[in-house]
Amino acid sequence: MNAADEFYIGWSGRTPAGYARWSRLAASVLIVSALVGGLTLLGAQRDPGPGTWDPNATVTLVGRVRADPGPILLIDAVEGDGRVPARAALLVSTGKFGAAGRVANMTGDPVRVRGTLINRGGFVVIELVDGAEAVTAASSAGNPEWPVEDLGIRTVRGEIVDPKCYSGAMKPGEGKVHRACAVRCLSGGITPVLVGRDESGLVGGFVLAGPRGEAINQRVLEFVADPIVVAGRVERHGGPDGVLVMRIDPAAIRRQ
Amino acid sequence: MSASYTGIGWNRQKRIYDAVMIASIVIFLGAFYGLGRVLFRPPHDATDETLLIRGLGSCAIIMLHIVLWIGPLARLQPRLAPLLYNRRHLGVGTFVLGLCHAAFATVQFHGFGNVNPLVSLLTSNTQYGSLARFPFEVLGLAALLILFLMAATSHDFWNRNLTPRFWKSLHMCVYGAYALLVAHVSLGTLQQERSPLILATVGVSVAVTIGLHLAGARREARTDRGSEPAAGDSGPWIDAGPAADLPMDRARIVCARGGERIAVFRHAGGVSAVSNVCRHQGGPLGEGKIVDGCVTCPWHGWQYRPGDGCSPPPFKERVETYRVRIVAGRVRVNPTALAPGTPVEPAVIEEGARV
Ligand code: FES
Repeated sequence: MNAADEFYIGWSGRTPAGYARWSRLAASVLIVSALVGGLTLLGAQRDPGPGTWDPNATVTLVGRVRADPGPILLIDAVEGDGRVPARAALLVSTGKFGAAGRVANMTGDPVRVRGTLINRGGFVVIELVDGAEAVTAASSAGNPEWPVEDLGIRTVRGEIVDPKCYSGAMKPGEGKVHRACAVRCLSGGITPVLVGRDESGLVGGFVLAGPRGEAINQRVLEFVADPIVVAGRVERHGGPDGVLVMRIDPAAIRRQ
Repeated sequence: MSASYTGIGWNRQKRIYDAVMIASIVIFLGAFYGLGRVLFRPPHDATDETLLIRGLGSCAIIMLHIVLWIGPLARLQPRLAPLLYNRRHLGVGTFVLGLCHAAFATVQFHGFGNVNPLVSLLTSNTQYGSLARFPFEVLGLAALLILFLMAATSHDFWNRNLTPRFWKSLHMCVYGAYALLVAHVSLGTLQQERSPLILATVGVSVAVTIGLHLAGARREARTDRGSEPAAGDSGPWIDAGPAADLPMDRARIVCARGGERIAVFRHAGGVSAVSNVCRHQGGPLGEGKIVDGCVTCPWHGWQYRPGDGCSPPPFKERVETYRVRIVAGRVRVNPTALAPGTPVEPAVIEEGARV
């Protein structure tokens, strides 16, 4: 059979030489292109950020807790040989749920907290273990004061995230692709955080609350993952290693 | 029909095809995950879930490109027919990968929360009015539903029961799914990622898809321009060229202006004309060959007798036939289709004509 006369019939089980050559060549080119294309898509992706989280490494912390302007723990001591890279941490629950309700009546109380550490560059979130053992009364608190430094009214540009995913529970845990997840987390009560910088160069995660410290989760949902700008009073809770809190009127949020 | 014909079943070609497909998918996913681990090192690593979701999604959309490219490629180079032969399995594979991508993404982004993940998928973002905030997830879901319908009806059982025409229309929806997926990527990942390489990869892929289809269509359009009415002849007969130039066991495709394509075959008994459209999936019979006395479709090898357009028993498919005659050495075809399976006496080429 000459080349022009070749004819391929799939069910016959025979592939004429010309057909086999062409098909092998094309299949190889397609498969190699697929690999090159796929790995290009992978390699060109954005840095997922420096967040870390070991969901299996439970730590026990002693400190004081309050629910307003967000469930924040000021850490006085770490039990065992753990280390926490900040003085203050935001508390969340497992899954996409917040922890404000679990510390609601404990403002200023000394507590022992069990959970796992989610940390992104010193911005620390603690995922409380399930059940009542997560937050229990502690006998003594070395330091009864709750330092708050007023940094005045600041205008911050950035993105509203859910701090749990952003800090390392998901990587990446920000941006448009993650938007729906962040909406879910904030709907579930996780305190919104504005990640950005103000005009003076103050950079970080600003825990968002209403003017009186009330939760504003529902009112910021539509802005999640968008580039925004908003002004509000900024406070630093827990001293130099503490956490930034920003009190805003959600109606004042503008998209950039 | 050839005794070796086993209908719709498994055979060596399909097994090789599937083995190559599955091996390629495994290599792709393995390379994606492995390189992801190497490129993004702790603490700047991506989570396993992220690599899995992105790997599956990338693999699915790349496979869809291959599915779409094979069609015009085989049109431009008929020797690529083996790639087309089992393309349905590529399509089903694409759906399965897309489904895994969607399932993992739904669990990851919408699970473990205060509402059902599927409700969350549809309600967590409803800003349809904004391109920047558009819920791109819903586009992927719509595409997946189309791919599901296609995968679910891909078996020849459905082709037969839904009628080949309806089946073909249903499976043309792949272009709708493709458009939805390009939008899913453009309004999702592309808005988040800053690298021009990603934009370029997507752009080139879409451009190649369009380019190949245009090239394939141009080739078909040449046939479709329509043959001239035969000179000096009364009635609607159209000219199909010199009989002597028609190669043995092969066809020339002609087309009356605005009419259906007709495959004019030369075979041992003379010249016969049948519809160019295979009953199976609309394959171009005129690009086929006479094998064992039957017109054999180049796509999956379905067969029809040239004299009456009927598949040999036990098969029951039939295509339209056309009247043919030879006048002054030129083949003429009456473009009015006869009912499928109507016997037509082949036109006989006179002795001495070149083969
Ligand atoms: S289209 Fe499948 S055999 Fe013709």
